[in-house]
Amino acid sequence: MNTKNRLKVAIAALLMLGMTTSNAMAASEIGTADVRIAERITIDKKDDLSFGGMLQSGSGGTITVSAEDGTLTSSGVQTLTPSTGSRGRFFVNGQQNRTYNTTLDSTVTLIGPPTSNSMTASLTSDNNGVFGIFGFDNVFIGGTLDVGVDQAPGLYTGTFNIAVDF
Amino acid sequence: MNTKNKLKIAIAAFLMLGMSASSAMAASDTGTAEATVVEQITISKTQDLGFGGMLQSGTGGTIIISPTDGAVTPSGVQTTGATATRGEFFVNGEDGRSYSTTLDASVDLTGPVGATPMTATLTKDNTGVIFGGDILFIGGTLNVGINQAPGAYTGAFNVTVDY
Repeated sequence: MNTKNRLKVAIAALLMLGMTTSNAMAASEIGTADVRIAERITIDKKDDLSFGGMLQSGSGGTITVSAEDGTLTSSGVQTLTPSTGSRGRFFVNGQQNRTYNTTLDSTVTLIGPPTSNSMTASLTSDNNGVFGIFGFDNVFIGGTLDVGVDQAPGLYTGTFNIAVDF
Repeated sequence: MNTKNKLKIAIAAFLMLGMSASSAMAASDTGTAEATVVEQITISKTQDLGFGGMLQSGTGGTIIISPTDGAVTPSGVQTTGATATRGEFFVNGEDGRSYSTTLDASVDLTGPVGATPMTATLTKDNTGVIFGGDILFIGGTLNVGINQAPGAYTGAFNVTVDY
């Protein structure tokens, strides 16, 4: 509903109330009006999710980034050291002590150089789900990347969606 | 209910409608996931390290091969026959990436039955970066014993490269 319609409804409500004036045999009542003003919730990305570098693998395998602490584990692929893999982070701002919900894409597709196969990573998140006394929380993103047999060398990237709401 | 209260309720209703814009209660963003696959690093020998030929020496001595330019410097021994040459390995992998090299400190060369082995310390020279590959040169200093027994002496050494 747009602002214009809302205004019309509000004015109609005002007018309607004006119409029902009772006269003789009048009775009175106390009504309560209250309104709750809720803070907005906002979310902003601070760090991307990175699985880091790895050697092309003849067997394929997986690389996992923990959303809980950012540690990297791999199976079947050799990761480059020092690893540049790290968990993603989103800064969520809302209302002190209020709980909120997080909706995260279950997977992300990473596209590499031309003619290469894409890679898929499942996504996980870690957060408190409730704002602290300062009204903010961090949502950390991890996941498991599936690396193909002889995955072509190159940089692979993909975009995923995350939403938060009260 | 008097007009004043009714007016208050109407205004409250008006305010609530203005407040309940859905975008304040939810928000979304996007993130990027990334990974980099790097070509395996490979190393293959293209030339052996050869100290060449020398005459048996009553004093013993050394033969030095420079990995930088292959220059041969004998001392106490007289070279003859086969020319000494530095070793060569071809390193390949992801273009532009640097790599590290691990080389045995020395190699033992075993000769004919009954002969005392000779030892050579090893040195290397390379750019350490892959640009259309990289060539890793191996040189060293061979220690020749007094009256080292004639014959062919050989030994194997290890060299490892990694990103």
